[in-house]
Amino acid sequence: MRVALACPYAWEAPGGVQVHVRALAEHLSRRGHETLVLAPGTGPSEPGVVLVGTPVRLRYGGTVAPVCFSPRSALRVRGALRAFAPHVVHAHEPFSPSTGLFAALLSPAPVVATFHAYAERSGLYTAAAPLLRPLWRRLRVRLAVSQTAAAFVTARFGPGVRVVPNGVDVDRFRAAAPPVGGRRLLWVNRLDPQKGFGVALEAFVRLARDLPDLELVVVGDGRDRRLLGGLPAHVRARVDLRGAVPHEALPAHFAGASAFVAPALGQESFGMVLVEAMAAGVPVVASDIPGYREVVRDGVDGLLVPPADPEALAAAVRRVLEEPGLAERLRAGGRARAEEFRWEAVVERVEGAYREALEPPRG
Amino acid sequence: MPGPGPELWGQLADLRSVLSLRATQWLGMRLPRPVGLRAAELYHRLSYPASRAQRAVVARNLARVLGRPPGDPLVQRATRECFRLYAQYWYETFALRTMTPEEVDRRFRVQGIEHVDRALEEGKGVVLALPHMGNWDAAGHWLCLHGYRVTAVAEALRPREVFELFYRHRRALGLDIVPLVPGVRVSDVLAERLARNHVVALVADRDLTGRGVAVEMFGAPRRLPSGPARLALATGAPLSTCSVYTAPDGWRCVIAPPLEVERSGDLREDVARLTRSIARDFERFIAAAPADWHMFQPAWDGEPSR
Repeated sequence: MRVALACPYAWEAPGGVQVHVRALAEHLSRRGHETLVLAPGTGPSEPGVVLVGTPVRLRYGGTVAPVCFSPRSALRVRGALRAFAPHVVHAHEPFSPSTGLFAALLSPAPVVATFHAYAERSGLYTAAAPLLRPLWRRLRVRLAVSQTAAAFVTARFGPGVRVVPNGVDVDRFRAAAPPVGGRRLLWVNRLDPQKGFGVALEAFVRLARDLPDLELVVVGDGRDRRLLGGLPAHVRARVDLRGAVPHEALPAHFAGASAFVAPALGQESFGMVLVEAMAAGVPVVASDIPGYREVVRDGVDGLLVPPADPEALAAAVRRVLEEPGLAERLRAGGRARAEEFRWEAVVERVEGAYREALEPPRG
Repeated sequence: MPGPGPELWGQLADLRSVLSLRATQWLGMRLPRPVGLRAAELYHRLSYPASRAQRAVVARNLARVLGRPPGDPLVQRATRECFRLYAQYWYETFALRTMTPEEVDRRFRVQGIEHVDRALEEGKGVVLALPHMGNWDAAGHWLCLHGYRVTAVAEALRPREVFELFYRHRRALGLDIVPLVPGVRVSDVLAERLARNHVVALVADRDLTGRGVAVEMFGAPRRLPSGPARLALATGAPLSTCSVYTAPDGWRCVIAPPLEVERSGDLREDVARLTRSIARDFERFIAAAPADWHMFQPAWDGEPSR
């Protein structure tokens, strides 16, 4: 089958949707499908990827999305789709003003759509809903990466969305080495207020007082990096800032971690990093918010704590570090849970959606 | 019976600041580093609880920088660290006087000195604009030890003894000091130093006149002095920004590439544009180490917005 995958965000920029589309294309071609990725971007082009135009940074919902909505990019999307003549067009975030929207609108083939995002509220989305309704009807099969993401869409457009979770390359993360030497707390995420970096630091400061061997490993970058510059020098010396890391290089950083912290404050639709940490066998302590709650079941494959509560986060990390048997139990539970998100299984469900889209519409 | 008048209290306060400065200088020049750092730490611990008003000022500044409310524990911690580093600054700045050049070299690491060298090859001097970060005296001293001729400006501090102590201190570090006193056009003196290919180092993150250039830093308006931009535009000297950070074993200094100086014909606009570029560099420097920013006056008017 020939499948065109449209990604709304700049191909070279870090982000969950890009990681998802890249891995999906890879797994589809492994199963013998022919794929073409359309995405904003300017970098050197890769085989099987068409970059449709220069991304612009659109500020929305507390983050900045590198999208591309120029008429030229629309023309390039149309041209590429005509030349490729796909059986199915798989548009990601078809309601973002970018490549996913153009691909869905201009597709010569049946359209499958995947919704990734979740926000507590979105006035713009609600306001635009009537305009987007014709497009909504055009989407032959609608997928969402989580219940949370699905609920966000169905609240505005009505039912008809199925959950096919994000996939994770479990084997790449499996190989991570178990903890050796001193105990390490791991952070992998953007350093944004929304991700709760301040909560993690505050919890670490509390833990560092009592646990002299504890270190904090920080993978990621963002404006909250400056919070590190305000730490007392002796605490700062125990933070290993590794900066932003390309997704391919990520698994190595999970090695040797004793616990993973993800105290995001909200606006998470899935929590891919949680699954990656679980696949790597690192016990997860995450905030109890909609997207994370779907991935981590408290006490089974990780611990959930109230968001924006450093004290609770520190206490939960301490439990993982000190309560006999807990870390091992969470490690095993996490690994088992991660298997449910294995790409090999997820991609079969996506294929099912493609087949369904190709069936003649009923009625 | 009338009590002592305000004049007497003023004189006593002056006397206190003179004596404590002299004591700090005396100790700084004599205590070996481990002892001096311990003493600074001890001083910090004893004096910190008593400095409520100043703490509130620093916390408001850092709240803006860190993007969190002043009461946030991370802001409070950064405030404490800021006072600790400031105490360390006082020991270290006087300790520089008795440090061997080899030790200064070992402790002071510089990145970007080639920008100064390249600028000086043109023979028009170079303007270095610095924020109050880490230890600016150490930067001046290091440059002097390496054969650069460095000119700096001294504020007209009161009382006179304090002014003189700093004047002599910075002269002893090798700096050429131009006092900011009425009747002298400092800009002319500095232009003349630049013509002699000096490095003119200006600490420029605080506008004392109220007539500085409006810039935005960390999302809020404030003013920066226009002096560095004016001087560079008037003389054709390149302008670089520079920052010093306190490191565990000394200092780390970063000199940025020269800023682009545009001449549109409208001097006021050119000064404003160049000063905004300085603000952007300063913002980056401060964000890298907020607690190392020795800013003990309100840096912004009003409260942070969140």
